[in-house]
Amino acid sequence: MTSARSSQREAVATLRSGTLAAAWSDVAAGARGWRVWTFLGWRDIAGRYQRSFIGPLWLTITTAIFLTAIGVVYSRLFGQNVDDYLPYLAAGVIVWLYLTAVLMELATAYTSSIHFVLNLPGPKSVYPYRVLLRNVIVLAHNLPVWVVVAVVFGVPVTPATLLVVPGLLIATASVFFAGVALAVVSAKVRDLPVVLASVLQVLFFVTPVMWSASLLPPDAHVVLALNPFVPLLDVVREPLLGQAPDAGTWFGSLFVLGCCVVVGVWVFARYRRRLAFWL
Amino acid sequence: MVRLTVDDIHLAYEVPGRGLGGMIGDRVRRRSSAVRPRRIHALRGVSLSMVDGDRLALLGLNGAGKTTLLKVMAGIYEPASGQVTAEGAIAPLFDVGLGMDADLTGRQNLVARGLFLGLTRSQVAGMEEEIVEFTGLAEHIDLPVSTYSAGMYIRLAFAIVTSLTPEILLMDEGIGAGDAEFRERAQARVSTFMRRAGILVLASHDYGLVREYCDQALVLHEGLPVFHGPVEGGIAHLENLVSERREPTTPRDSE
Repeated sequence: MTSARSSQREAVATLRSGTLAAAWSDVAAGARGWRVWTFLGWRDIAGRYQRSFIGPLWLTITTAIFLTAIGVVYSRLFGQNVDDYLPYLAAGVIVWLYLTAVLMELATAYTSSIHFVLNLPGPKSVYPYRVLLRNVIVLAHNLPVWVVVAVVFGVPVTPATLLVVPGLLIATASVFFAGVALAVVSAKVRDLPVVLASVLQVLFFVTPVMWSASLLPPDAHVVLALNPFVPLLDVVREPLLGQAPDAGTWFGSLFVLGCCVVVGVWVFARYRRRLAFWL
Repeated sequence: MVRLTVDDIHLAYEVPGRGLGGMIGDRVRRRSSAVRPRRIHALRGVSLSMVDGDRLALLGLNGAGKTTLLKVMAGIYEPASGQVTAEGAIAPLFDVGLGMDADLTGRQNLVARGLFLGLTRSQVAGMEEEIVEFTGLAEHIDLPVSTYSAGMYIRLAFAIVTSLTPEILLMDEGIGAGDAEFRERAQARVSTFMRRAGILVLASHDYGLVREYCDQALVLHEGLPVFHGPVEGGIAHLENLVSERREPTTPRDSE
């Protein structure tokens, strides 16, 4: 009892308004309060499948069906070999679904938990943690699909495959920090999640997920340079396909990460205090 | 040692805006003045120092800042300036029916609330059966809260909150819960619950409740502390404010 209680003691005791230090203590207290967000995060997943037969497998099946259908049709459309196209598509779609789901669900992290935020004490960082955990679990459900694709189509496993770890960390951290900013702002501007959904829908088609960047004529490459999802996607997808990302991808993804961290930390530190009033 | 210190708290908030659509609409119609949010200065320099055994009543007219102060003490609202220091586990009890997720089952809400208040899973499990029994919900406890009747909802919320042993109990108004049979059992439970807490802060318009449980009173008026002293003095002070204002909404008795 004492350890749990003392952590709460600190959380309240260090309350100071508006500063970076206060935001940091919120983040740390949230991490110490892992019991709350691990419980809620797992509940979110389990709750979705309470009365279904094959439960969480639906996640896996949906992705598998989508990839098969798109893979067969679009490989013809682009005149590409299915053996090359399908692994590329699978890696891209799985990573894209994960990154955009983190963003979209973070945008409603606070607005969907009003009843808790307004009535229970504790750090505000608990809610983003819950959303991230939930989506990591969903990503894990899609992993078997990738393994099957990789085995069937003989995707090479090389030393570069290990780079998927730093790649995934960079991409996850980027959308997490950006999503925290969205979560806070969405409490005030309720239109934001809806706007975000339509923006992401468009982005799916102009980001090289279903098509390869090499199909784009050089004079159109500016479309790629302006899209923050391009390096985030590549830094995970290339290692999955057994290739090391090039320097441009590393720098690009780290640059996006830096921007997201700055914006996320700034918004959270500055407006966290007002969250309870906005909700 | 349980301790709660509130040091020169100031707090102002904006009345919620109208969303992007409303804002753009106003801009287009050049009614920018209508967009400017109203700011409410809810607390202006409140200080308090409480230790083990203190029982404080927060008194004041509607909108005086009682609930806001409680939420600041609980760490739900962060003040614009000033500091709250709490040594001891805080249990806020603002509205018995709130703080539950309609999609979760009764049992899961029970666990979530316990975890939010800093307990471990095994500590929650230790209290679980006793709570379930007190609610009298039987197998309904494993159904989503959204399927509950209003009475069941309140029974559960009430049982969860009063099962905790808070060192600092922050309470808004009295707890009225359920049917007559349940209310009787509830009454006894509230008494022990409130006596068990190291520090009690109770915001209420119910003089009977205040006299029974509190030994000091803080009167707030428009966010300013205007009286701090014995309960009877506080009640007299509030009565003065009421008659001065001749407000149509006189303090109501909440059963």
